[in-house]
Amino acid sequence: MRDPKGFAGRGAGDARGPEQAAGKPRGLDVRFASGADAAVSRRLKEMYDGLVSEPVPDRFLDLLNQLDKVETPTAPTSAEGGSAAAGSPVNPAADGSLPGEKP
Amino acid sequence: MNAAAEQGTLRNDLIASIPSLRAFANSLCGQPALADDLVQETLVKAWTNLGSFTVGTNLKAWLFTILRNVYFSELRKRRREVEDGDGAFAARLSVHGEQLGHMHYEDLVEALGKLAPDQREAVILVGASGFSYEEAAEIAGCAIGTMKSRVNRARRKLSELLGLEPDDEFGPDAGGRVLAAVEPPAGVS
Repeated sequence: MRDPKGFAGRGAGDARGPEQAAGKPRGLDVRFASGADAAVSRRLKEMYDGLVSEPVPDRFLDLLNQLDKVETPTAPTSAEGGSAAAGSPVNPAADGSLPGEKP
Repeated sequence: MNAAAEQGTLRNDLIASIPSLRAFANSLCGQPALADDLVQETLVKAWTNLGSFTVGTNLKAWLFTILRNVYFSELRKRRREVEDGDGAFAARLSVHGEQLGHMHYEDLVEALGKLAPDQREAVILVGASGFSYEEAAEIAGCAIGTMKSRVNRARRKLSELLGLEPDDEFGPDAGGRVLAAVEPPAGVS
């Protein structure tokens, strides 16, 4: 069976998120400068940043690769029979969970 | 830029967002396996609905909105399934911990698991992900004032749960407020 999964530069180790790009000076810690709140904020941020810096499992890159093949409108070969690759069927309207819809 | 190139760019942006999405999902549900399922569903939804994303607007906020909607609809679904109401489910949610605890944040993770989900979401979005109140309110689909009070309540509750006393106000910059400190502690006679 042909496995067309190989892709260059998958960059699995590249786990930098937007949060890490810079210490965002949002000023929120100024508004919550009282001791306990500042301590909570600091620990929360530390934990979160630790999570952001975890490496991304290949599963997600594989997923996007599959989606790429199924959904790319310009791909000449993906017109038929490709839907199995998407795994579970997704009905975006099912629970109204797309942003932009005002409840 | 043609459609294919635009899609390629968005794909790269999606990939770049995965670490943040995973951090958000993990903090929200406290269970790494579930978190990755949430991220996966978010990516599928995002990809199949790229058409509804306006290029040039905040992709990260858009993705976070999808993820939290997936999470909260999952919460509602499970809540309906659980016979005895919120109690048992809340208990299970508080498994929150352990796996995430390898980074010396066991107590914080456990405390997060004890918050009401909407407060947990609020304090993560504003206190950890770095969204403004406005953005966070948009993501959560509530008013800004609601978001602010959720964040406040979440912070107070976390302080309590973590045993952080709010006395530290008389810290480095307590300069102008010495008066309050003159009060003798209760019980001293």
